[in-house]
Amino acid sequence: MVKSVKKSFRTTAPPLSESAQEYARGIAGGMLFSLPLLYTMEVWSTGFLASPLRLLAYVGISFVLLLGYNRFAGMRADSSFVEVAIDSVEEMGLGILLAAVVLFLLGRVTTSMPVSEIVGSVVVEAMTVAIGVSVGTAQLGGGSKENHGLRSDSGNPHTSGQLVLAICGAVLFAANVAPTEEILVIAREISPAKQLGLVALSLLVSSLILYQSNFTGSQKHVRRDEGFWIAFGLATSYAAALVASAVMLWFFGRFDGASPSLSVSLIVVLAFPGMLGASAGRLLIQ
Amino acid sequence: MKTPRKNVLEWLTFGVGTALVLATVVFLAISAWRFEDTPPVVEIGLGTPQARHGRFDVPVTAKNRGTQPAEQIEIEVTLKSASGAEERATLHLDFLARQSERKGWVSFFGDPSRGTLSARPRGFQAP
Repeated sequence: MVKSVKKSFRTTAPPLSESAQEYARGIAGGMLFSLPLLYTMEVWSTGFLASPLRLLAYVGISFVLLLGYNRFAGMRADSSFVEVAIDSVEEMGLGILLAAVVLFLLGRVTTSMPVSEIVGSVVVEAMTVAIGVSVGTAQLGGGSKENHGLRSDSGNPHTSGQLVLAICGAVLFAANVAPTEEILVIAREISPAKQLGLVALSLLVSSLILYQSNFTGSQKHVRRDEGFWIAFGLATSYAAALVASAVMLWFFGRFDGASPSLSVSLIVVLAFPGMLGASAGRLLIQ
Repeated sequence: MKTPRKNVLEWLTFGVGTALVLATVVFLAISAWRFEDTPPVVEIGLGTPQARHGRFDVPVTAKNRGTQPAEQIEIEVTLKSASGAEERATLHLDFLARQSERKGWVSFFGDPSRGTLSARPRGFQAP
């Protein structure tokens, strides 16, 4: 999974030391991005409480995100689908292995637990670890990065690619708070006016990041030539944050028994960190 | 179809990764296929009492036979002596995953071997 210099199709195998360095970066990234989740009690219990079908869907969604990230940011644009798929499987495998080892050392997974509990606990953590592995491998290297970010033939930022990266960014940022009780408490207690205020703040902060603050990568990856594209960029980023938030809340069982108004409040509350991820996070992971 | 050029370490990682992902997906798929949505069924089992420091510790095993998890489980264990006197002890479990068990202990001043022990879940809630 050579990505320090984003790779095109390789004609020769890389030296072992190069691969080892990349796996080391991947492991570092996996730990860095998922550490809060590995140390959060609500995440452990989700592993026991979620149904097998929900866990399976979570694995599927995470794999699609990994494919998307590797396709649009982790590897060169001319990488084949096979290469992208192989890298994604490797990263998911590393995620499962890392999550299992850390949970075992933290005493959250023990040999006396039923297999269903072990698999549940590991899967819940492993998916975020896997995305961290992918981002770490691609972004934490000291070498030069070719083909930085993805552009379409016209030279403008690739819209669908940026949307996928916005969802990845939103997941990475919002996942750290999505399973906590605090999100539920906030969503239950704040008024609709404050929810509206959170929507406005999300859009404002995102517009500062994407268009006003000369944020790392914003000149290169954000289309800003017309007013339409600014509105389009904000709307798609917020849509990515809302979708990522809704999927995470569903996975962590927050919608179970919740009224429609509480569900909307939950999504809006989580979409604020999600929007930070969809704008700032997105620029930092490509 | 082009086959990517990989070294031994990369093929090994890919092999282990594939095995782990496949094992996880197959296990979850089989579990999902067999999954029946049944409410929590909490059963309590009692082990052999141990005399310790002037009291008697009784192991308690709570098993959930349902496919939905239970939370905040209150377990009451009663020791009824031959004279008819009752001593009660309670145990609280935060949660009990589907089809799994947890172990705890309750403590009595009276000797359980000279009376009758009984146990029941006083109540539990859905997550």
